[in-house]
Formats: sequence, C-alpha cells, structure tokens
Amino acid sequence: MAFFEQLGILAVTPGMVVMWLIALTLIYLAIGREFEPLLLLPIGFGILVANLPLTELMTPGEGLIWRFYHYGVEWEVIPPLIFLGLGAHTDFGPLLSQPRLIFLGAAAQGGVYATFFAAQAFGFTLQESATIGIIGGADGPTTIFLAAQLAPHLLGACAVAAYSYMALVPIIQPPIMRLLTTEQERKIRMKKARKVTAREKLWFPVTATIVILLLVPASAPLMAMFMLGNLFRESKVVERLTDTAQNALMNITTIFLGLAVGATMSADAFLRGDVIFIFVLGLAAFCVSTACGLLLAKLMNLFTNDKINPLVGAAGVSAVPMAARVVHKVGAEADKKNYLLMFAMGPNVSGVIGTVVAAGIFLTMLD
Amino acid sequence: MAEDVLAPLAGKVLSVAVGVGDVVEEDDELLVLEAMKMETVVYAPADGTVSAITAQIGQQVEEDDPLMTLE
Amino acid sequence: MVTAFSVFINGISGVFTGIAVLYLMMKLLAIVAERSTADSTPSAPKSTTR
Repeated sequence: MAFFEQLGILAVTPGMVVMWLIALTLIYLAIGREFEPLLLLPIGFGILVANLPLTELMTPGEGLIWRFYHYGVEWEVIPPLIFLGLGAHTDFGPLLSQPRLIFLGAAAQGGVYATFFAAQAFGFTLQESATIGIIGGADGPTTIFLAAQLAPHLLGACAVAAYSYMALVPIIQPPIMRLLTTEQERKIRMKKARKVTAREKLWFPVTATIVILLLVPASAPLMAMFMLGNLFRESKVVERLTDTAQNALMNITTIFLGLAVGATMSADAFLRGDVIFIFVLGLAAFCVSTACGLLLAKLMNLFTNDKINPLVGAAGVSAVPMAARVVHKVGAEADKKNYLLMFAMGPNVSGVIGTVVAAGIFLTMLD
Repeated sequence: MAEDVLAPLAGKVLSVAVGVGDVVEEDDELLVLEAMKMETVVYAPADGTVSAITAQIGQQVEEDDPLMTLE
Repeated sequence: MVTAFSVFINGISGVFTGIAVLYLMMKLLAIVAERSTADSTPSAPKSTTR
C-alpha cells in the first residue's frame, strides 16, 4: 500500500539516529543552557529535519530548505546581509580613539593561518584548510561565506564549530590569558581614551570601504555591507533603516541561515573522520588567535610608554562582544577598578575587519 | 572637599547600593552599571560621605558622566 | 601553482598590510576631523557688554 511505501521510518539509518542525538543536544544546549541560542536552535532543528528521510526538504531543485540554502547561502546573500546588521550594531569609537589597537585585531588572525597550515599538513586540501582556519576568526557569517565558496561539504561542521567555540570563549580564553601574562601586566590601567567626534565616526565607514575594497576586492560582499550598515548608524538620518538592519533584518537572516546551515549536516556529510579534525583544529585556531593577540600587545608595550594592558589583545578574537567581556572580567580579577571593557572593544571590532580581509585573501588565491 | 564619582564607561544604571548620607570607604561598592550585557560595579574612589546622587535607575550614562558626589 | 606556503605568506602579509593602511587612514581621519572642527570654532570669544 502506498502509505507504507512512503513511511519515513522504514528508511532510517543508524547514521541518521546519531545525527538526531547531535541535533537534540544542540537544541538542549541552546534552550537549556542558552548556548548561542539564536544560531544553535535553528541549526539544531535543521540537522534534525535534514536527517528525517524521504522528506525531500534538501532535495536539490525542490526542497524547501534546499531553496533557503541555495538562494541564501550558496548564492552568498545571507552572510553579507548579516554583516549589514552587524555594521549597524558596531561602534567604531573605541577603535578610532586608539588606532594602534587595530593591530591586535590583525594579530588575532594568527590562529587562522596557523590552523590553515596545520590542516593542510593533516591532508586537507588548501580550500578545506582555509575554511577550517577561518574558524579561528571567530566570525560565523565569514566562516559560512568562505565555506560556501571553497568547501561547501564542510560548511555545516565548520559553522557549528565556529558558533560553539564562540559561545565557549569565556572558558577557552581565560586560561590562555593568565598563562601568557603576568599579574602585573593584567593590572595595567590604560590611559583614558580620547573623545572621538561624530564626524570621524561618520567618515570612517566610507573611507574604510574605499581602502579595503581597493586592497582586497574579494572581501567586498562582506566588507561593503558591514560598512554600509555602520554608515546607516553613524549618519543618524536613516533611523528606520538602521533599526531594520539591526533588528528585523538580522533576525530574519539568522532564522534562514541557521536552518539552512543545520540542514546541510546530513549523516553522510557529517559522520566522517574529518569532522573530529575540524573540531580539534577549530579549537586550536581559537587558542592560537587568542595567544597571538596577547603576544602582540606585549610586544607593542616594549616600544611605548603608554602601556597597553595585554589582556585586550585577546579581544582581537572577533567574538563581539563576548571576548571584550571576558577581557574585562579577567582584568577585574586582577584589579577590580580596572574597566577594560571599552578598551577591549577596539581590538574586538578590528578583529572582524581582520577576519574578513583574511577571508578575502583566501578567496583571491584559492577560488 | 567634594569629589564627583564619574562613570568609568557608558552604560545603564542597574542599581544603586548607597543612599545620601551614607559613609563609604574607598573601594566600597557604589552602584552597578550594565554595559554590553555585562554588569560592572563602580567603586568609591576615596573615603567619604555621599552628599548627592545624580544617577537614576534605568538612566543611560556616558563615560565620565557624574554619578554621585562624595564629601 | 598555489602552494600552502604562498597562501600563508600572502595571507599574513596581506592582512597586516591592509590593517596598516587602515591604521594610517584612521590617523589621517583624526587629523582632518580635528582640523575641520577647529575651523568652525570662533577664533575670538564674543565680547560681553558692560
């Protein structure tokens, strides 16, 4: 009878059941532990439905979620739109008031390159290694953007790794921060930031767009949208657009992104030996990036009297604002009246730029 | 000698731990600000008596805005 | 042929160059912004009537 032929339950494989457990774990972490719920909830659900057979949700050309994935992610529409929203949320004030901190965001890309090198030494192709490496940039949309173009078969795993480690930043970073800095260094009070004028904050997105697009054109989809969002915000004349970019647009794109990314993780795509490597390398990427940021800050201190608290280097890992909060907390442990949060925002936002530039260069060389 | 307690960073005033007339010592907790979804405590810069409190619960303050005055 | 090494080197130098240029741009911005606000401030205080 036709009804029995279409029963999904007859087509279930053990792999699928494993994926159900992973999906349910992510959903539990999102809801029960509030672990990056905005992404992990739809991702977890996407994994679940993609591993329920015969639904045709991910059938190329026909499936509902396939369409979200194809038009939103494969066509590289959603990640740039998310960047539009992120730009509208970002305040470059802390960075503009102490421009030298931008180098900490650059240094924190060290984990990306170290991991790239390690991954290809382990046998991954250059494209796959770049995608795994960019996890160290702690930037979900950029990871997805790069994966969709260079290594789509790794997209789901890299995205879940990136978002999971971003949520774990408060656990991953502090030990490294304490290991690489002395108590003395952690107590450093930084000189009060100069006030940044509204005009500077207004010109920044325009000039930055010109500069970065001329240097790394491949980063344009993400960088241009990021700076446009920032321009919306700083112009103060398009509050409706800024509000939409910050809220409705971010929320809509997040829904589609999470669901589509999760649905790429079918049992055959995910249950491979590679995936363990991805998670291990991804973690290493985060750790090395944190270390590079810290170490560059210490190095910069050798050349200046106006000391930088090296902890803020760890905020170059662009999990905004989580890494900045972690820096503040670790700093407060050493000296409770040390308010590092706003200083840490400088490297934090410059890390976003650094990761996008790194992704752009990977694309230029490997696409 | 009156000393203004200034906001160490921009944020929203969540709670005030002292009242006018309270005697505080240096490093006592004065109030809690929320910034970037994180609570930060503002501590007394010196010993003194709270003579005025300008900060209100729910108020959005900028860096260096006066929060309260100590005598 | 694109080797891992060339990607590595290009990548690291590319990121630092890009960021360095951005740094110089921000410094320039700070100077220009300060100068244009200085131009708009009155150079002498208004005289008060006695």
